[in-house]
Amino acid sequence: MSRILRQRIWVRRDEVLDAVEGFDGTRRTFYSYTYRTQRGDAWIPTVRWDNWEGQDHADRYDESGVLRDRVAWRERPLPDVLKLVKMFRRNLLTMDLAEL
Amino acid sequence: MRVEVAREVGTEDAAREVASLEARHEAFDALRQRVFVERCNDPGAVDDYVVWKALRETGGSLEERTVFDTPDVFRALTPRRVELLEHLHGHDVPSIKDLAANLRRDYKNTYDDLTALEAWGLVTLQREGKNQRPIARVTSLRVSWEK
Repeated sequence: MSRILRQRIWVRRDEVLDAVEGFDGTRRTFYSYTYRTQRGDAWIPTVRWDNWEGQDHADRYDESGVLRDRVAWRERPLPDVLKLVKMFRRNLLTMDLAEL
Repeated sequence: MRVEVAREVGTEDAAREVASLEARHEAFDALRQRVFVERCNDPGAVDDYVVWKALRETGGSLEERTVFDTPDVFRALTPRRVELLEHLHGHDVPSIKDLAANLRRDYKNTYDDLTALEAWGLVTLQREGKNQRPIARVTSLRVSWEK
């Protein structure tokens, strides 16, 4: 039996962190944290951390939401990622995510 | 300061969620094809797949939370808009016109308030034929301060 917890955290009026977590009983089987910025009516992904296909990684996207690069990343809980997003915001695009 | 809004996703909401997934991706198998075979890098598609898969399972469930890590949201929560959210929580309202009539309010002001709430994700305006059905995405609202 799967339980999904979907959260949208508003950091500013035009910046959100979307989190989707999947649980099988108490075990978390999937997570994704997507930092999005609003352009017009669209929410464009900027940075995303997830364990899709069983591998922890972080993806960065360009201004039109196209995948730019992918790096390995050590899994961290949502409050830690929220802190990173609030601290660095769009600067995350130019930082070494693997080192954060 | 942190404002946390919770929403229980009941059977009717889950059916609406599936209808919205179908509108975006046509069919579950088509979405599965996109994420596994075509290996698309669209984060929305992967998240939608995970949610849809859970909703198809017996006993699968979805819980939604919206957190405002900014006090700006209070600009959207005027007394009239809170009243509107409360009404939507307790009643199934098929259109904005019906909502305005129920609250004995002017249509345009009701529409403006709904779009302001929609901008913060507190309301969804779901297109149904010529009408837009207002749906509250709130069942509770909690304000807390971190030390």
